[in-house]
Amino acid sequence: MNGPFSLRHPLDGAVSAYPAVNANHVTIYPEPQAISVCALQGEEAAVAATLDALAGDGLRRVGPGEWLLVKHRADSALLSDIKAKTGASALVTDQSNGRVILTIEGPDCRAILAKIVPVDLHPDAYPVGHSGNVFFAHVSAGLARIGTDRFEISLMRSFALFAFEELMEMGLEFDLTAGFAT
Amino acid sequence: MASLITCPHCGTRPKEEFAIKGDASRTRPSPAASAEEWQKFVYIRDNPKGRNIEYWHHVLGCRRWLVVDRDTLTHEVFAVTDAAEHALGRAEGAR
Ligand SMILES: [Zn+2]
Repeated sequence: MNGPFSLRHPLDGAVSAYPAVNANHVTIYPEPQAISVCALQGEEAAVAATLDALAGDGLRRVGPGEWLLVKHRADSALLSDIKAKTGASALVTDQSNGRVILTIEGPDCRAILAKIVPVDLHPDAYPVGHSGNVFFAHVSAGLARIGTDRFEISLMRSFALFAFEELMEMGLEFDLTAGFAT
Repeated sequence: MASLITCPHCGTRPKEEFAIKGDASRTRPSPAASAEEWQKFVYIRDNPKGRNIEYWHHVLGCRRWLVVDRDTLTHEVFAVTDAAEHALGRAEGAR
């Protein structure tokens, strides 16, 4: 493979350039942004408040004092803003080229995900806004519920094609389609 | 799924998300401890039947180390604590 990772999306060639869009559909974001933030001990609450103000609905919880900020379209000022505002209270790493961000939506998206993750996705157990890392087709992935029938999945780059293919296979019976966001 | 662990950070998850690293009741010997003591700490393991505490790493979830208090015979889980909190509690108990 030639050139840096940033020149080639891991799911290039895995979907049609002109995909059908059915009711159940996976959208892949070609230029997403993922920023990992780890608060230093004792700074968790202050960092959480800063991130809340900066990232709003793109803030994904990983564990205590650790977050992944996800934007479906990269915002060039975000990384430097976070670094400036968290200062010495957190460790900030740009993971944008190391992650694949996609969303799955549609009336059957919960039934499809139920075949691939071992967590209860009932809205009472996994409400809109909830996020975390989960066992996803045997690898770890970030899963956030961003709507009643809409989830965001963040995959590690090297596992992305495998996990994506598993997801599409689980969606076969529900006519799941996939394509890059335009 | 037979083995469910309720992570204090992530909620109830299957054991497949975790790596189990064994006995959490032992304490690391001092660097100056005897070779016998280090041998015991590094290599010798009990295989308890019944209730005991173990380190579980939530590898595929929050990536935190947890201390799981469970029965190896019945697999009843009594408590799951973050290892940092467990260590703090133990340090306070020793005071
Ligand atoms: Zn966890």
